[in-house]
Formats: sequence, structure tokens, C-alpha cells
Amino acid sequence: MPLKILLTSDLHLGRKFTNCPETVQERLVEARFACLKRIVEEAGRRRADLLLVAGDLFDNSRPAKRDIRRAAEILADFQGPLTAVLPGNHDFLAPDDALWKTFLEASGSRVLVLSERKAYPLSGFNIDACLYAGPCVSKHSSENAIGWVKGSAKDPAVAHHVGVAHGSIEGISPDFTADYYPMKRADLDGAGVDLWLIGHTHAPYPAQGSTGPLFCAGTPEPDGFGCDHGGSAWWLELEDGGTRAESVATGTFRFLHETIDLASMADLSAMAARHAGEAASRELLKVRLSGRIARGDRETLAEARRILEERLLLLADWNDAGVRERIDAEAIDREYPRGSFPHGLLTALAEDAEALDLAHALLEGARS
Amino acid sequence: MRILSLRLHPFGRFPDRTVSFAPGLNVVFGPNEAGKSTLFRAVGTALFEPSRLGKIRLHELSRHLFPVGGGDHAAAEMVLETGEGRYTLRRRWGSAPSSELVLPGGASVSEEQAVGERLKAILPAAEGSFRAVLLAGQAELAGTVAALAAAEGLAARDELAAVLRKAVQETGGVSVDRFRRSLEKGLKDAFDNWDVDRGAPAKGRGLDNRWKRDVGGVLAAYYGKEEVRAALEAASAFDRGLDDANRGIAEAERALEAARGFLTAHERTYKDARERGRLEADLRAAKAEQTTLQKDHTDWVVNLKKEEETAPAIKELETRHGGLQKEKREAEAAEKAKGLRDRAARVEVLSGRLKAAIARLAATPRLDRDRMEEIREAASAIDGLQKALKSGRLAVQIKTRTAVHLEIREDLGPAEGLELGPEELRTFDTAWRFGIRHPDFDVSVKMLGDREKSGRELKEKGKALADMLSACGCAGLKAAESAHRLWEDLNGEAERARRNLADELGGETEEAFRARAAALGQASTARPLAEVASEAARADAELRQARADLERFRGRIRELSAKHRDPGSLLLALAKAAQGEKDCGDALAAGAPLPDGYPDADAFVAAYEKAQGEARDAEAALSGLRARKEALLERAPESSAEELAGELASREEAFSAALSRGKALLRIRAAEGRLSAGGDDAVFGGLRDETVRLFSAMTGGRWISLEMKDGLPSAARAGDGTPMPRELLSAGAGDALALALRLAMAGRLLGDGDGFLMMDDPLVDLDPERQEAAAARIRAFAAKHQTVILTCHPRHAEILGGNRIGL
Repeated sequence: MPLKILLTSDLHLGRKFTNCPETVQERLVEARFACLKRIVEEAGRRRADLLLVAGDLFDNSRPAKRDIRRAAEILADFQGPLTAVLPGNHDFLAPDDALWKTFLEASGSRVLVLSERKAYPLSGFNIDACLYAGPCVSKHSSENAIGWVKGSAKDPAVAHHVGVAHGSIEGISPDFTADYYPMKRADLDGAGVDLWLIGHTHAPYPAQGSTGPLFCAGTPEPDGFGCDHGGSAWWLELEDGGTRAESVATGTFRFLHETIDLASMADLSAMAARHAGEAASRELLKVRLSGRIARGDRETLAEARRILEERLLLLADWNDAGVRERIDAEAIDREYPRGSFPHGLLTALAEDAEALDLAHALLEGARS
Repeated sequence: MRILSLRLHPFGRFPDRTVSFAPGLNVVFGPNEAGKSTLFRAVGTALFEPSRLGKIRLHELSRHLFPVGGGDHAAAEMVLETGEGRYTLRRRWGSAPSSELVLPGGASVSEEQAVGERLKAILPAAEGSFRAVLLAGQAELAGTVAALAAAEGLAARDELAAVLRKAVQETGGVSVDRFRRSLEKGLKDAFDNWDVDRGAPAKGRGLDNRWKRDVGGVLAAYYGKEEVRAALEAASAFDRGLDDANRGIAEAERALEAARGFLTAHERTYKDARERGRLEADLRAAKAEQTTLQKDHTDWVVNLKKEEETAPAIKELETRHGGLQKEKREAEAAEKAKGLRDRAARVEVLSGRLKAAIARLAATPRLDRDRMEEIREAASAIDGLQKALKSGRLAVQIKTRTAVHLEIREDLGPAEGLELGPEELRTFDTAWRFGIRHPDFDVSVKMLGDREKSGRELKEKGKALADMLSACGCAGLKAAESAHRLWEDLNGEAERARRNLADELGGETEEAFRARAAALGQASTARPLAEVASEAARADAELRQARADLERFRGRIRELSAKHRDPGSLLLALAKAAQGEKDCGDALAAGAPLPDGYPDADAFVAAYEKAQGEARDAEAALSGLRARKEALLERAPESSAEELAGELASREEAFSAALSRGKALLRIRAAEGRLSAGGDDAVFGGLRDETVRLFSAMTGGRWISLEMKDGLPSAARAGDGTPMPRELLSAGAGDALALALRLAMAGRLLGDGDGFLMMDDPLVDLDPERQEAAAARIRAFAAKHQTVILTCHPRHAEILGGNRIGL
């Protein structure tokens, strides 16, 4: 029988989204709890042996107690043998902080917090596996938490040896200052476990179809404009011959970017069309436009903006500073007599799109 | 356009008054309070004040509009003529307000806004230009430039500038000045309090000392991004601070746990160790007591035995000591006798020597010092006499012709024979006398005087000396010296022998000494004193030592007796101490063993108590760290560093955009500046020249040029080139300048078209000469445009001329 694991991480429950309007904040905050619930339900539906949260279940080490209890209760609802939760670099194990104590009090006997750097044999939960945990004890660390795994004895009687850690991975997650428990592939490969399940990287890894031995869940619910995927978890089936992996979509909201160099208003229409229907109501969008448009198209631009504002959950940014009116020599000739001051000024600024646009607007306003 | 007539019914002080105006110059003359100002005000009110006024505006105008005696309305009717025909404007303010404009052809417009628009179309200039230039009240005249420079004069300046530019420069329907103002406003809005060159807030006023007012767009965006950056830095610092705090707490907890672990693990051992310390101390005390008692016991036994042995030994020593003392005395006596015998022998020898020395001395002729001294004196006297005699010399030459035999005598010397050959010369050198004896003759030659006495003395002394020498058996002085030395030596020898003998006798006479020595008898056979004395000293020392030892033994026995009473008691105490040692040893063996690494219980107890102190310190440190962490958490930022990082990126983008826009505006300004360089001078040059012309004419050529700024005069230059800022011109010159500027501006505004200029008492502050000059300029203006001058001065009216209208 394969060992069935549903892997997730980086829920960041309690993140406030202060950059968003209050109503949007509330929805995004609530979405994360809803996502956790869906993951628990999915794990139950698929009859997972293990639901594993590889770090950053919470957004910080002192979340509100009600959030802790709520998360614990959701996870306690998992009907499978075991839920294992690893403290990550946001919800790290801190002395005196009540987070994990409160969590355990509310979560029940089938929830295990991997709070020590040690092996956790799961035979007591009827799972033929051993977890090798690398919990985080601070937000930053220049050293990873998995060094101990290499030297630990691996019971040959146990079918599956699985490493669980949280931090950056060389070549996969950006960590220029090596501040987030950096792990090298050599560290992972040489540890002597069958599989590594790692949190911290918000994008899922690897691509679909891989068989491991390294899996990063990515965040199951997108949490910002740096996260352009829809949110997913990994469904893993470990057998002697290897691991079968399947990505499970879990997210509700999308954080999207549109960067368009307008060749015509059709580009605007196409963009608007991409954000329509019910899906648009779950999108947060940043738009950056550039290009040259005809004089009258400013209205169209404004109209497009208005439409998106209506459709989207949040038009977080509309930057059309790069859009200029198509003011060519012909347009200048049409508008102002040759030799006149405005004609001369606009002609002098013909190569300077931004100044040309501004000057044109100023001249319009100074018409007598 | 010109005014044909104005009817006020009522308006201010006029219940119903109509004034007709002619083309060209009209002078409305009347005394003060005649209603000139009312008339003046009525023109502007009729043209520009809508009939439906708000309460505040109605209240502001009421004292000018409504009749002095009371009334609830004012009304005016103005007939205007343009190239299209006549327009009649009727307005009523206050109760039942209304406006009507009857157009040429009879149609009328009575809707307020429509009336205003129609008037705007037919009037030669906008309201601003009228109020600033074409309708110049007395007070406004004086402040012409200031009024035009103020915001309220902006519209007039714009209009004037537009007019001027249009004449010089094709503007494409754009007010260049309005464009420039918009551009400058845009630049100010963008760069207010932003140092473009340094790319930073003006005067370096960053977040800590930020500008609160006049914050341009770039500065606002800068502050916005810096606020987020500061918040991000604070959030990052908070994260790291929290990590450090947690790390510190974890380490402190580990240290505390380790300390407590040690304490818990060795608590019983500590208790036992403290007891052990006491037991070990007791054991050491018991052992020490035993050692002491053992020693005391040994001492007691030993000292008793030694006392027993020492007493008889002392007796024996005493006996021996006595014998030796007696022998020593005898040896001393024998030694003493021997000494006397030795002395006697020496006396004998010395006495013999003395006798021998005396005998030798007696055998030597006595030539002591005194006698020798006499001999020397005599010899010296003789020598002296000889020298004195020799000092005067007698030279004698003898030469004979035949061989002769002579006898000669020199001085007192003996006669000597002398053989001379024929012709042989002989020379003699004598002291004082020379004698020659020949068988045939005697010759005596001598020095006369003392020399003879000296010679006799010499002879006497010589004889005396010879006698002395003979008495001591000496041939001469040298021999006498030798004899004297010999006698002295022998005398000295005898003296020494005498002294040696006397020393040996030591003051005793030789006879007495010999008697004493004879009395000694035979020599004794006792042992040498040194030997006996040495032996006696040793015996003495032994006896003293033995006695001291005995005293010591007895003293120790007394001491032990005092301490222990008796040996039996001492043995009892010894047994008790041994038992105590055993008991301590048993108790120690029963206690918990010390951990490895501690030499004794004290060392372990010290280590344990040190660990207790360290545990307390660790607890205190941990409390402190927790308190600091809590204090840090109280200052936790609202947003996470991750969120702030995202926000910072947005703010930086916004800042870049604001800066880019501002710089674009700067580029526009630069381009506009290049385009307009020289243009403004052409545009405003004409106005300046016309103003200078009029001003110079009015001031009799005193001022010949003007400096302009923003289209307005800023300074005047006199004929000698001296510049005078406008504010410092005299009142008269200032008024003349204001009048010249108004006339020039009015001329430019009205151009070649119809229009009118109305001024209230423009000549009032000018001197008579300048009044004449100004009047001439006004008349020249009036020749082209309807001009209405209001004055209360008869002379002004006279010099102006024109159509006189009396009030």
C-alpha cells in the first residue's frame, strides 16, 4: 500500500493584507482559512494517510488565539491517521510564545507538531514511515535545520523515510543573503531519506509529472502580487518504486499583472475580455499600460479602467503614465498653425513622448 | 464701442440723472460730493454687476447703489454705440432685479447670462482689463502697477499680454502667459521644496524634519516611499530583534536547565557533602588530637627517662669540673712564673748589650753635636775669610833675566821654593799677600786695609780649628765629620739598649727585678695552661648543657602534668580520640560519594553553591530577556516586512513617475524658453516704448527709459542713466508713470477699435507743468478713443478742454 500524503505549506493564516481596502482584506484573510478547510476535506476525500503542513501555517509567531484555535480545529477535522505540522520561519518555535502550546491544546491527538530536530517514527499512528523534522526557531537563519538528518540512524524496518523542512533551496528559491535556512541540493541528497517535503517557497516545485525526491508545496492560496499561480497542494503516493505526484488546485483568488504596450484599443478590449465573468470577481489586478493612442482614446482608457474596477475584486494599480497621445507632426499641424508658439513647442518636443504629452495638455488648458 | 449716455434712476445720490457723452475727450466737472464717483462707479456696475446679486454682494454694494435717503433698489440705463449700432443696457438691483439689453434693431435680451455674454462680445476688453486699466479710479490710479502686479490684475495682464503677443507673435489661440503660468504651476506642484539638482528634499529636510507645507508631488512621493522604507527597515529590525531575543531566551533557558539539572542531580550529595565537610573537619581534628596526645605520651616517657639518666651524669660532670678548675689555677700560676723567668733572661741579655754599647762609646773620642758644630762654625768662618780674601786678588808676575832660585810665600801659606830660568815668566794669583825671598833681597806685596786683619783672623781661627781637630783626633773637617757620625751612632746604640732594658723592666729597677726573679725558685711541672683551660671550658659547657637539658626535661614533664594530670589520664584521652576518629570515618563512609573531579567535600559544596548562584543569575537574566522581548513586541509593526517590501516597490514606482513627470515639465520649460528667447522683448517692447514716451513727455524728459519685469515697469532711468526703482519714485513721478502706463496699456488694449477710457482725477498729484504735459497726452489719446475724465479741479478741466459735463 502506498503511503499517501497531501502536502501543503505557507498558508500564512493571519496575514492582514493591509495594502488592500478593508472589504478586500476581509475576504483575503478569510480565504486562507477556507483554503485550509478545503485542503483538509480533499485529504479526507482522497483518504490520505498523512496531511503535512511544511511550515508557515501562521503568518507570525504570535497570531491571535482565535486564529490558532480555528486552524487547529480545522486540522483536527482531518479524518485520516495523522496531521503533521512543522513550525516554519514565520510561525517559528519561540520560547515563551504560546502559539504551539495553544495549537496543541486545541488540536487533538491526531495532530503532531514537529517541534524538535529529530526523527518521528509514525508507527504509533499506523503509518509505516518516519519523519525527519527540521523546524525553525527564528525568522532568519544562515544555517538550515536539516544537518542532523544525515547522521541519524534510519531504521531499515521502516518503509518510508521522509524529510520535512522549511527554508530556501539553492537554485529554486531566491535567498540572496542566505537568511532563510538555506539548503543546498547536496545537503538534501546526502541526508539519506527517500523524499524531502519542503515549505517556504511560495511557488510549487517541481513541475507536474515529476517523481521527486524533492517537493515544495507552494502556497495553496495566493497571497500577493509576487504569487502569480492559482494555489495548489501536492498529492503524493509513495511506493517502493518511487513517488507519484499530482498537483491539486486549491486557491480561490488570483493576483495578476497585465503589462501591455498598446498598439491599439483592441489590446485594451482584449485585456478587459481576459478579466470577465465570475472569475474576475476573484481577481486582484495590477495594470501597467504604455504606448501611443489617438487623442480621443483617453476616454476609452478611462472607460476600460472603470469596467475593470467594476468586475474585479480589486484593481490594485492602474498605471497608464506610459500612455501618450499619438501626437505626430500631422496632428500638430492640424491643431496649431505653423509658426505659432504651440506648434513650435510641440514640434520641439516631438521626440520626448512624456514631455510632448504634458505640453499638449498644458497648451489645451491655455487656449484663449 | 463708446458710451453715448448714462441714466441713473435712482443710483446712489442721483434720484434720476442722465449724462450724455461725446466722442473724444469728455470732462465731467463738479465739486466734491457732486456725484462724480457715483457716476464713475455706475459705469462699472452697469456693465459688469449682474442684477441678481447674492446677499453678501448686495450688502457690499448697497451703500453705493441705493439712494442716500433710503430705498430698496437702484437702476441704471446705458446707451452704447458700436460699429453694429446702438445697444441699450438696463439694469435694476435690489428689489425686483432685472437686466435687459436692447440690441440694435430693437430686439432685447433679458436673461441675465445672455445679457452678460452679449456684453462680453461687444465690449472691447474683458472685465478684468476694464477694472484694471480702462476704468481707473482715483485710488487705483496711484497703485496702477501694484494693482496690475497683484493676482487681481492677472486677468488684465493676461489679456494685455495676449493682445500684445498677437500683434507680434502668432499664438495659435493659446495664451502663452497662461501656458507659462500653468507650466510654472505644474513645476511648482511637482517640485515644491524639492532640490532638483541634488535630487533630494530642499535643505535636506528628510523624514525627520519634513516639510509640512508647500509639499510638491515629487516630495510627497519621496516622503511616501521613505516612510515605507523606514517602516520596512523597522519591520526588518523588529524581525531580527525578535530573532535575537528568542535566541537569547532559548540560550538562557538552556543554561538555566543545565544549571538546574546539576543542582537537582546532586542535591542529596550536596546535603551529605555539607555534613561531610563537618565530619571531615571532625576527623581531621580527631586525628590531630591523637597525634598530639601520642606525642605527649611519647614525650612524657622520654623525658622521664632522660631525667633519670641526666641527674647522675651531672654529678659526675660537676666533680670533673671542680678538678679541672683547680688544675687550671695551678697552671695559671705556673704560667705566670714562667713568664717572669723569661723576662729575667731577656733582662740579662739587654743589660749585657747596654754595657757593651757604653764600652764602645767610651772608647770613641767624644765628638758630640755641640763640639761638631763648633768645628763647623770655625771651618765656615775660615772659609768665609778665605773667600773674602780671595775676592780681592793679587796678581804677581816674576820674570828674571837670569836663572834664579827664589822662595815665595802666598798669603799665609808656607814658603815654597821657585826656580826660574832666564826670561821665564811666572804668574801668581794670591788673595792679599805675596812674599819673595832672594838671598839678595826680600819682596813683600800685600793688600792694604782689612785684608790684613782678615788674614790675621784667618790665621787665628785656623789655629783654633786645628786645636779642636787635634783634641778629637781628627785630621781635618771630613775626618771630624766621620768621627762625629761614629760617636753619634754609638751614642744612639747605647741609648737604645738603655731604653730596651728599661722597657723590659717596666719601671722596676734592675736590682729589684733580679731579686724577684731569684725568689721564683724551681720551675713547675703542671700541664700547659691552654690545655687545662680548654678542657675546663669543655667541662663547663657540658655541665651547663646537662643542667639545661635536665631543666628542659623537667619543664616538659611539668607541662604535660599540667595538661594531662598524669600519664594514665593521657592514655585515656588518647583512647577517646581514637574512638572519635573511628566514629567520623564510619559516618563519612555512610554518606553519598562525591562526584568525580572534586578533591573533597568543601570543593564540591563550593561548586554546588556556585551553581546555585549561576542558576539564580540565569533566572534573572531570563526574566530580563523576556521583559525585553515583551517590550519589543509592544512595538511590533502593523505590517509585515514582506508586505512593506511590496508596498515599497509601488511607492518607488510612484516616486519615479512623479519625478519623471516633473523632469518632463522641466524639459518643456527649457524648450519653451528656447522658443521664446527674444520673443518677450518683442512682445512687450512696444508697450514699454510707448510708456516711456508718455512718461518722458509728462516729466519733461527727466526720465528717459524704463526697466520692465513681467511686462510691468520695475525701474526708471534718468537722463544720466541713474536707475530708480519704481517704489522709490516721487509721488508725482509715480503718478505720471501710472498714468503713462494706463494710457499705453489702454492704447494697446483698444488698438484701432472703439472703446473708452475713464479716469477719475488723473492730474491731481502732478505739478502744474506736468499737468499740462499729461493733459496733452490725454487729449492725444482722446483723439483716438473716447475718454471720460472726472475732476473737481477747475484748472484741470480747463487745461484738459474737451466736452465739459457739469454735475
